[in-house]
Amino acid sequence: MDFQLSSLLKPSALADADTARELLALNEETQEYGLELTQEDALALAETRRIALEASGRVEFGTPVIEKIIRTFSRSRYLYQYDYAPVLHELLEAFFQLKNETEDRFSDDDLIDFLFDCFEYRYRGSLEMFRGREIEQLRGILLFGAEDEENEDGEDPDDE
Amino acid sequence: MMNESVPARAGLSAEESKRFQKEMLWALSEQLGRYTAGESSSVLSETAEKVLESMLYCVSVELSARPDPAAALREIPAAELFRRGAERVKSMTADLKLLYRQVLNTRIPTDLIAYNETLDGAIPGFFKTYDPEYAAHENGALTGFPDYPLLNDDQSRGGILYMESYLEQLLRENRFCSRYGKNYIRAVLLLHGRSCHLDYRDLIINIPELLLEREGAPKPYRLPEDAI
Repeated sequence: MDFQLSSLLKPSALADADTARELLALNEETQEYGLELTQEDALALAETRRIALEASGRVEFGTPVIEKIIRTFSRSRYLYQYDYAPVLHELLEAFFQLKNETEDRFSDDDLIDFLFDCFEYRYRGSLEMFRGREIEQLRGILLFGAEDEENEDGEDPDDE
Repeated sequence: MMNESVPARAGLSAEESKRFQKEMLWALSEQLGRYTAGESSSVLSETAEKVLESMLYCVSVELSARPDPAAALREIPAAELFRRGAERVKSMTADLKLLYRQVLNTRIPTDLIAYNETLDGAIPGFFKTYDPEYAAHENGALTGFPDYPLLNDDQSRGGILYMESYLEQLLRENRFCSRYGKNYIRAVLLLHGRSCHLDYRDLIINIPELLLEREGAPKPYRLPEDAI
């Protein structure tokens, strides 16, 4: 019996249901912010996770990072029930893409915090953040840093 | 690949193999957690495969030191076999440094570049960069194998087992060559270089092989103490 890692560590479609169950359990925490995933949302997210991992050539071995993303982003003031699931899908794909493009130089926590800060202060909840060119910019900021910037109102995002 | 059929080669049943695989995957998850220092929940597939191969290499090293590998696979959890194998690989690495010292003490007096660069560069480079934790099956910075070829070089496996075999053979060859004077060895190399229209110092050639050829030894060439 060959030890084919590709067939063992990579999540299968059958495992989507298990992942979805774990995501639904997080509703208890996110309800406080008026955010909940339906069964359908959770299954779709589990599928996006599996496909995003496959597309990025990665395998997950610990607690799925989508759980950390949900916990962090549920406190965003720009996330509402109507765009909760769509934003999570985009975040998941962006996360694995940036993880690869920055060659795993940043921890999961650091990358999620960075994405949260961008979503909250740079893009104010706009899905523009996830367009190809914008992701490229985010990659550049991560790797090379950004000059100090103020938002359009002249306020320093770091003060908020 | 050496590691792919560890349970199959030990004659385990399909069910026992499946149990071993499951246990190895758990152990792999923990090892990847250590690899990322707990900071990531995912890695590239190639990284996971490399770490798994390293772990299976350590398990193989541990099993090969046991009188009954199949019994060990059945009775000892995979994670424990890996842990013991990793300890054994680290211990072998320390022992090999002593063997390397012996090789240096018996080195052939020659200005053959491949020989000297292997002794003074490639082998210390291996010890500096060998990663028994996450790449036990690889040769560290020695991507591939040493430039200086041995008379009989088993390249079917890598890592510490390969280096052990390489150094043991090199020591035997050094001792064989100590029967010959420095000038004689240089003359043999020089003549061979001339026949190839090359500076002999640039040759990638095994010195005992040239000496045995010169003496008309029968092929395949073997060191006298290896001959039956």
